[in-house]
Formats: sequence, structure tokens, C-alpha cells
Amino acid sequence: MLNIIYCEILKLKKSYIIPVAVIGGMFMSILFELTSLVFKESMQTFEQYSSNLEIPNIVVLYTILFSLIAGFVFSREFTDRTSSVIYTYPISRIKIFIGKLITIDMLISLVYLVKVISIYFSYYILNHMLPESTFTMNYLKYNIYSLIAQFLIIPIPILVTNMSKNLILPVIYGIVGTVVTMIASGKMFQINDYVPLVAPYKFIMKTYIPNLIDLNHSVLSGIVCFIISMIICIYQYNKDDIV
Amino acid sequence: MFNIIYSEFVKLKKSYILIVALFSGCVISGTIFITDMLRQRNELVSLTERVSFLEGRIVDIDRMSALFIYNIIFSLIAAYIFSREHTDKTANTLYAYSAGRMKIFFGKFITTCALIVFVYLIQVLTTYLSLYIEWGVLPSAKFISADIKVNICSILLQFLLMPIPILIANITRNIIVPIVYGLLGDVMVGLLLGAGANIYSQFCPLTLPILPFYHYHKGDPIDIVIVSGSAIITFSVFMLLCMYHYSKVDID
Repeated sequence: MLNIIYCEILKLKKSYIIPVAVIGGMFMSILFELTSLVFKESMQTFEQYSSNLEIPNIVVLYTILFSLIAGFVFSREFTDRTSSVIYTYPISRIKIFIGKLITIDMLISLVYLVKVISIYFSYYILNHMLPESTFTMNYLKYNIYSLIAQFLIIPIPILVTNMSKNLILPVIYGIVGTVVTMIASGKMFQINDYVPLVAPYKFIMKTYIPNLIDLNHSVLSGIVCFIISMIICIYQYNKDDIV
Repeated sequence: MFNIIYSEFVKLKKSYILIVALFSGCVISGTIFITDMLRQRNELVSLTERVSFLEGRIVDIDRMSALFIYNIIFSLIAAYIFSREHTDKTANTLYAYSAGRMKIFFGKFITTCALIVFVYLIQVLTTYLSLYIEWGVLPSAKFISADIKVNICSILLQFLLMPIPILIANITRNIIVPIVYGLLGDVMVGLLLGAGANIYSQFCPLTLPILPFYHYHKGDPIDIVIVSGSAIITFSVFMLLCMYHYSKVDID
């Protein structure tokens, strides 16, 4: 199993996906840093700074970025015509699938890690101070929960990729997911609590609004979404024909 | 020249790109349609009230699609048209055509522009259709002609931005980096124009296609010198770079 993951990471070595993940994590911090420097804004608290930064990050950027990552890891076997090689390994297809899934999860964790570090770094450069330790612990805790919620919804773009064998449709899924997240992160409908796509957003917002959000529905819908889409994914990946 | 454009369209026939273009024209108007249906908003009684509400909705749909969808979709289309020659290993065949590379480049560029016009057309049609189905009225003829004019302005400004994703796609020979460019550009434009079109955001050339909506419908002022300057500089610099790179690039 370890070998498969290692081999997947080696495949990524010469592609653009690792720089893309790092840039995706840092981009918003750099942008906010620059705008704050240009407009000479008065001093913000860390809560204001990071909540302003997280909302566009998680609503617009990450849905598309993560489906792009998932799409790339799975679809390049088809576009590079190496799927006939990978399926002749003496390893079952489920193991290959899980190995790829863990690789995607590691890339997502890299994005989150870069994001947290760059937020703290850019805030320190702007204001020469850091938030207190209780807030930091809380912030890290909810970031980890949000990361786990991202893991729960990642099988959907994987399924889209495996069915279309292409990189275009996962990106389209990402755009649709962004629109859905944008609508469902508001308070417009009753059903919003049950949409699994907003679970990462809600966990991040829980840091800033501690008692407003009830997360049971999001967690439940996320887990149900993970189990169902995972079963369909594994079935589809096992039955799929080699092209 | 005509043959080259025709062959580019034939290449697109069996791909997902046409469906993607169709879909991206419908997505925002469809979403607004569905959410308005589900919301069960109180009946707007008088006709003038309904018409003014409708005009606000049309402006919202135009603005939201230009802000969130178009940048990423158009860079996806441009990147797909240019980079699939490398991923499908058909670049050898293409460069053996009895046509100059500049002609091939402009054929592809015109195909991209045609798809952009197609997306805008679908978006305008679905907007008016869905709002008419929902409310049963259409806005005044003056508003519709103004809206069409603004959309044509926006299309022309989109053409000016196309060389950037084309250059990125040609250099990286990949579809990922142009998509990421579109994504990051989307986020940046969303932040710059989120609070209205102020004078600082007009310096960024990526906001150009969205400025007409703000200028004509919301009345935000535009600095003509800055806008036209950034448009001309962006287009000429990136077009020259694109043409130079495309004519000098090695086949592999």
C-alpha cells in the first residue's frame, strides 16, 4: 500500500499540480496583503482579517481547485494512455483507487497547511503581532474539521472524472459546486443545512461565529454523501473497461 | 482560411466543449430561475413593479455570470482548443498542413471567439426566456436594446483578454495551468469588483469585460483613458507574444 502511494506521488513530481496546490493555498493571503498595503487600511483584528480571507477562499477557490486536483490524478491515466499499464500491476484495483484517494487527500492537506501558514505569516508582516493561543488552538481545530469535511466530499469529482475520462467535466462540476455553495451558504432555504458541499464552509465559519451554526446536519449529510459516492466510485472503478 | 476554421469546428464536434459552452450559458440564469421559484416571493402586484424587478434581475444575471463563470470557462475553452494538439499528439499533423502557422493560430483564435459569442448568446436568450416564464412580462424595448449593446461591448472586451490564456496554454502545453489562471483571475476580479467599480479596480485588465455592466446599469464612472490604455496594452503585448511563441515553437 505504501508503495502505491509513493508511486502516485512520484507521478506527480514532474507535473504542475504541486506548484498549483502551493499557489492555491497562498494566493488569497498575497492578494489581501497587497490590498492592505496599497489601501493603507487601519489595523484589523486577526478574526476580521482571516474571516475576510477564508470566505472567498473556501466558497470560490477550493471547490474548483480540489476537483481539478482529483480530476488530474485520475484522468491523466487515460489521457497519457497509461491506464493499461497501471491495471496490470499485481495489485487489486481497490488498492490502486485507495492509493490515489490518499494522494488527493495529501494534496488537499498541503493546500490547507500552506493556507494556515500564509495567513499567519501575512498577518504578522502587516501588523507585527499574532493572535492569542486559545484562538489559535480553536482555529486549528476547526481547520482540521473542515479538512475532514473536504475529504468527505472529494469522491464526487472522482466519480465524475472516472465516468468522463476527461479533465473538463470535473472543472464544470467545480463551477456548479461553487454556485451551489454560494447559494447554500446563505440562509435562503430550509434545505441548506443538508447540502454536503457546505460542510467545510460551515466548519470554518464556526471559528468566527461560535454559537450560531448547528453542524449536526452537515456532518450527517457529509458522511452519507461519502459512503454513497464511495460505493459507486469503487463499483465503477472495478467494472470499468480498459481503454 | 475558411477551411481552417471549419476543420477546427469539426475537431470540436466529438468533445465536451460544445456542451460545456451551452451549459455555462445556462447555469446562472437557471440557478436564479430555480431559486426564485423555490423562494415563493410575495406577488409583485403592479406591472411597473414587476418590470423594475425584472430589470434588476437581468443586470444581476449578467454581472454574476461575467464575474464568476466567464473568465474560467473562456480560459478552459481557449486552453482546450490550443493544448489538445499536444495532449493528443496531433501537433505533428497540424503543422504539416499546407497553411502558415499564423493562419492556423488565427483560425484557432477565431474559433475561440465564435464560442465566446455562442456562450453570450445562450446566456442572453436563457435569461429573457426564464424570466419571461417566471413573471410573464418583458422589460421595455429600450432596456433590451441597451442590454444587448452592453453585452456586445463585453464580448469585444473578452476577445481582448483571450491571448493571455492562449499564451499560458501554449507555453505549458497543458490544460491545468490555464484553468488555474482563470480561477485565480475570477477570485481576484470578484474581490476587486465586489464593492462596485472604483477607480483602482479599473487598472486590472481582467475587470474589463465586467465594467460595461457596472457603467451602464449601475452608473459607476469609468476612466476612459485608463480602461482603453489597459485594453490596448494587454491585447497588443499578449498577442505579439502569442504570435512570436507560436511561430517559433518546436514540434514534439
